[in-house]
Amino acid sequence: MVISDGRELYSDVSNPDFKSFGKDLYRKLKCNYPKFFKMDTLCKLTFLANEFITRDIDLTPYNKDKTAVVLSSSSSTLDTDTIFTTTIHAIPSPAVFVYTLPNIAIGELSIRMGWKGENLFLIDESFHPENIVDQVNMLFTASQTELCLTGWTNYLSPTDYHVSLWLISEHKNVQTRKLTSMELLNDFSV
Amino acid sequence: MLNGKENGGCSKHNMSYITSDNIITSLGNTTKEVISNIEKETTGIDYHHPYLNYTKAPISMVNSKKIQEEIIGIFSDVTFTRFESLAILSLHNALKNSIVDAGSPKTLFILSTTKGNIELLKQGVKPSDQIFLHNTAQKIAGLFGFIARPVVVCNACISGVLAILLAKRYIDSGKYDDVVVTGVDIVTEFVVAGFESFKSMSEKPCKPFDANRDGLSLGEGAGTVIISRRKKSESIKIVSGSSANDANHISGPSRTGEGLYLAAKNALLNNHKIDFISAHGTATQYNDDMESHAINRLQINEIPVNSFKGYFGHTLGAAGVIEIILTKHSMLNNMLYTSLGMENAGVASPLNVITHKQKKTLSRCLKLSSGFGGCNAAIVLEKDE
Repeated sequence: MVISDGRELYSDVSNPDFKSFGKDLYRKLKCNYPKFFKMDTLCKLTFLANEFITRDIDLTPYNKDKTAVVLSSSSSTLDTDTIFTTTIHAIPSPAVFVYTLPNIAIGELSIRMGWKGENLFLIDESFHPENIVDQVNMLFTASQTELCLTGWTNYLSPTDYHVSLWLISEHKNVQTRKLTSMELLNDFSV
Repeated sequence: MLNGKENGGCSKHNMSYITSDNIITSLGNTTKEVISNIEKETTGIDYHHPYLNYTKAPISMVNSKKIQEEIIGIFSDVTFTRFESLAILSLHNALKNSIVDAGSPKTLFILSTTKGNIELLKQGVKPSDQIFLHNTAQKIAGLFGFIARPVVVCNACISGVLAILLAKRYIDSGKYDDVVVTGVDIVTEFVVAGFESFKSMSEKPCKPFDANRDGLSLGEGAGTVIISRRKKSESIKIVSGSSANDANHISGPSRTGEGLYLAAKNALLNNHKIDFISAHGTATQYNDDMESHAINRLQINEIPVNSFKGYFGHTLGAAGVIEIILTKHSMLNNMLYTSLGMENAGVASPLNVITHKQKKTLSRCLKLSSGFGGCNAAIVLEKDE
């Protein structure tokens, strides 16, 4: 299921398997970005959520050098780690190994969007909205950051995955809501 | 006028001092031992063939037997993986020289690592809970009585520098008074196979910045720093820092050093007067060339620069922590340590690589770091005069 700003955009309960659901979403988004097919599952999941968020927003007022990405996850790259482990005694592939680092998801978004700001990938047992509020507020106070893509991305298996991302601006405008743990938790639990 | 944002959120009332530290590498299990070996220009990189069918490769391995013996004297009733043993001994050694109260809600533990307990992942076996890094961090934090929920930074080779930057930001924000950062990674079959697949491992011990460098040497190790709001006996502080992405390629650094240039530019806060640069210097062709471009773009290419990786290899998630500790002691000792392995200059843009150790007053220094995913980070350290 895909929910964006509280609206259900796409749901296919008969087909929750990410392998096909992810491809369906990619086609639906019409983003024409062949690099998508080279990505591992955690990157694909994160990439798709970012596409849903950013496709309808005018980001031109924001400086790309001051746009940060802060992600957290429990699974990290376990899915790809497991795949790479099976190849160690055969022919290990650099194209798989590179995806055994979770921050590659930040790298993929940065390439897609041209974002060159602050980066941080955290591992946590579960989604903690107060941690996200802390991280974003610290970036706005202590760095040049003016826009931050942040959230939770977790991929354990084709039927056990979840991504929730938010784009948070330092400045208020007509579309914005106030950043609070409660707002994030409400979005996350929909 | 400078406000908090423009000067990196740093004011005179918000200082982050390094008050205690420990390093464990092939060169020893204490910072003192490691530095005494660096003084003697000894390398801990040696030929091992611990995994697979690989012929002997130059790798820096810790003395696991000695670490196990020391651990048994501290926690005799719990069993630990090799990764956990390294983290625990480093943490123990740093805490025993410190008055920091792990049990205070104003004290935070941050674990920095790339692959943690990855050796527990075996083909065809359901992974144990300790494969999850947050479980590893909680197990370690619990042993020392930390009560704040630990934070895990997992951001490739810049993890250590990012973790220390995060510690400084937590202290500036007022949320914590003391942050204990432990960076750890071990050499495993998984990591060896990965770097070998990239053909990025050197045939001989790595030669950062040398014309004939042919790749990195993997290393394992741990580093712990305690960063505190209040100054204690020593007087090196973290003044500013930043991270940035190349937005260019996931496995190759930017040809122009774009992200590293941006990270260092933001970290330097328009004050390019520094006395020493501790570079990332992995000794791969691409990394060292990229760093030379970034350093030249910043117009700090006359400043003495070294890489510590010739002494104990690339320790991945521990590298930033270990090398910031070594930068701190370089400053306290007013010493520029030799960039081991460098014989003939051979990077794309000229650098002032330290080929002979020498005395120099070090007041303000820059630490650089870069990693897969196009990530880069930089931190500035200052001596409190």
